Amino acid sequence: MRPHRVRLRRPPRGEGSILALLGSAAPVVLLGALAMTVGPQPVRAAPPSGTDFTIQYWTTNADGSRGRQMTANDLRGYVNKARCECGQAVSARVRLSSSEALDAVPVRTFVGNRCDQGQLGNNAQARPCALAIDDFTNTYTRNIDFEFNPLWLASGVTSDGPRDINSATAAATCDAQTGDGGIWVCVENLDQPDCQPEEFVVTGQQTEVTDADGNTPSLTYDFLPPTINATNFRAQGGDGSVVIKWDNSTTTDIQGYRALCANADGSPVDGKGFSLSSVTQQNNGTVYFTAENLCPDGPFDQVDVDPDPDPIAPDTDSGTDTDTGDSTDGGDTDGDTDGGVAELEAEPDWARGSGEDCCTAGVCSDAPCIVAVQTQDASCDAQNWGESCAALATDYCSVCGGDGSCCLPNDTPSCLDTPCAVTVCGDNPDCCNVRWDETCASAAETACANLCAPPDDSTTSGGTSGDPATDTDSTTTGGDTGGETDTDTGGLAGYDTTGIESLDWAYVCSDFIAQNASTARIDGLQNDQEYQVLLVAFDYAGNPVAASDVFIATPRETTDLWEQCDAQGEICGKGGFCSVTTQPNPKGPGWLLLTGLFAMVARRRRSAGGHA
Amino acid sequence: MSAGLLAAALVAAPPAGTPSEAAIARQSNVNTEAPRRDKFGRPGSPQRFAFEIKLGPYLPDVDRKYEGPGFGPYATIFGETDGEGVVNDAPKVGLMPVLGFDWQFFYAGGPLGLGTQVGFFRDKAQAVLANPTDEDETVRSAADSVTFSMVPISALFSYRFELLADRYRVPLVPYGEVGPTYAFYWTRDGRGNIARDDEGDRGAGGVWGFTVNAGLMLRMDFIERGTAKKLDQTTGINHTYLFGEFSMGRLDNFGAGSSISIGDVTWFAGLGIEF
Repeated sequence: MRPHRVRLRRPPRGEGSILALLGSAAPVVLLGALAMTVGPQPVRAAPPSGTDFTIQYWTTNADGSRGRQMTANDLRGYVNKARCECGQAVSARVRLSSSEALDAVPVRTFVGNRCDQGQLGNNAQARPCALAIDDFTNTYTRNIDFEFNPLWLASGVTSDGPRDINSATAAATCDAQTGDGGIWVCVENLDQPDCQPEEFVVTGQQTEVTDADGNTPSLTYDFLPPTINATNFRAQGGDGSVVIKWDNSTTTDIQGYRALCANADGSPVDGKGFSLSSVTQQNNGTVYFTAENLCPDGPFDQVDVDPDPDPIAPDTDSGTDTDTGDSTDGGDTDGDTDGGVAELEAEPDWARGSGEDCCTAGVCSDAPCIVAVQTQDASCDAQNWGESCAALATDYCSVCGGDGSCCLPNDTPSCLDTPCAVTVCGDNPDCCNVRWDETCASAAETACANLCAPPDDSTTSGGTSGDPATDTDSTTTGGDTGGETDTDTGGLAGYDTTGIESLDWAYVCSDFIAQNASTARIDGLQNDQEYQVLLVAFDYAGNPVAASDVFIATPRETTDLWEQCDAQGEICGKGGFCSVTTQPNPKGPGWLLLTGLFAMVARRRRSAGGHA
Repeated sequence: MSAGLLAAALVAAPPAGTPSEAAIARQSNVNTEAPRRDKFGRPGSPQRFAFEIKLGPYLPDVDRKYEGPGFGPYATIFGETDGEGVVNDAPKVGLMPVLGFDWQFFYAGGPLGLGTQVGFFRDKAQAVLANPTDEDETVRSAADSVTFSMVPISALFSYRFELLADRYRVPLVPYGEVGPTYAFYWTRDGRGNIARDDEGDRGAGGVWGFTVNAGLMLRMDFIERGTAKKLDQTTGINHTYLFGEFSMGRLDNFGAGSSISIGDVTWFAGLGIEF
């Protein structure tokens, strides 16, 4: 399949001349050959170790310039789906410090995760990482600065393309991935060409930042919005306000909420909204991000993405990695006896994304299944696929006979379509708290008609090799939604909810609402005027999800005791702490106190007279 | 020494291993001394203070001055309602917890004391819609609730007639308290802010008044006198009481013309100690 490519906006940086050599193993092979043939060999100095390298990260501004150095909180929660979609680069610095003389050996710096496994080229879950720097030891003794698109933290490169970070094609999009990534450094020992797993001395986890607890967090990427477990949302009009309430339940990935509001016509409410002071502002878990909010004028930077890359052949021999390119030339795989293709077709189901290993504990190699299960339990990792993950897979993965569709029953709470789940669980909370049973599925067929419509009505094709370009467009730039399928906002016929459903910051009407809250008030609204309201949940990285349908509520003026007292003849008088200033009531009991006072004074006088 | 003298000595002396009388007296739990008495002749440790905690129904008499038709303003907001939120009965009484403390400075058949007591009361109801329409199922707002809160603080002169309890073991102690009271109050609107009327006057402040309490205390010592005495010896608590009292609070700035009235005539029950 031909990848969807977008031309790089940012030109290659200073390392371009060196990186231009990449994509070919020639220099390394040549160097290796020289090292093996020239003799006698001199005594080698010890190669640099991981601790000899300093790895630092910075944020970047919209123009790509370096912002502030990342803190521990940044490392844990800065890289989110929106920053990935906007291509807001991460700036990195690599430096080698060694007190001893170093041999000039090739040192390669990669960006990604599991780069050591990716180098093998035979692991479906770990593709080769993007190569950022390819140089020799002495070059690293100076600060080497470079920027990279955050997508590279989560995605490897396509097997048939270049590995240079400035020209490589990513094998995944900014969707539904979470994990730790970072800088990987390989110091070659010249025994074999290219980097071998054991030659990686910096393995992605290394940073120079220590948090308050003494931990050194690694750079985390989180492109996965939280799962909604809160149910029974309702909105009620208060005095100049709208109060939203929901039934909170234990959630794993929700950091907090924001309430959104809009006028009845869908426009933002005057005086409301949220704006970011800087695109490098620390998330702090109190702000959510979408690409449309963060980069409304379009991505800051883009990389080529092939959302449906060719699979990697599980070539376990230690030969060169260039053979993977062969596997891409055969578009027709049917009945072909060609060796390379036949070998590919004979490989396990991971190549087609239908590995049944997901159905049992161990590892899971079916990418759609991993994504589906992670929507229910973000801790499920492909390489660490526990019993609970396997159990979820039986419900949510077609390879295991399960289906997380809202239209079918399963043995776990909720279903994959959040708006549908919210709608159904609003009437039957057990569907999201206990089990999505037949009753829930039946309710979904009624309440989520579009979702449960026959396949020929759905907008997704039947899996033919359609046009992936449309998929990537929708994930990278959401500016023009085209007005399609906007009418399924449960019972809100006649209201234009596209604005508020876009989660635009202009619609933010509340401060941060804590994760354990179950009510929030939107103040500053006009009485007797309809408003749209929506609750947005987000995780620590700021990935949002609409936690409710759009509701309509009308603020209503209310009367309190003080106003009622005023209306019924100032029964309560005037407030204040010094109100004994008006004329006393002659019928009141004040005379009793005064009489007692006079009696005491008279008694003292008589007593004093007696003594005299 | 003759054999006779030796025999007499053996009979008179305690056998070997038997503790001496001095040792027995030293180790004995039985107090053979005369009971300790304070300067007023009461047995036990000196008694100077009293502490009590009590709870009782309370309903501020805000509508006392209302003479118009229907319900007064307090009942209109906090009264019993029908299914449509319309008031159909007076408000339910709430509960007011009160803490009291006395300094007992003189004994005249019972302690005379000066003390203070602090209570707290809060009432809450769904706010009334200012302009309900025919389409409204109820005249109450589902989103907003309004509250009225008060904290009365009293300075009380007290007398507890403990003579019968002290001298004749009659476990009943009648008492009376009287003194001025200042009550803070505040009422909040549906948004949770201090309420304001159309002229901007805040629905918060304080009113003067007075409080009269009269009650009967049941001295609990008779249940287990030994335990009561030991409690006195180990902690200094002379007596423990269960009590009930009649209470009249008139909190309306002594009838000043435009003051809110938040007193009540009610009763309290509680626990008390003297120490």
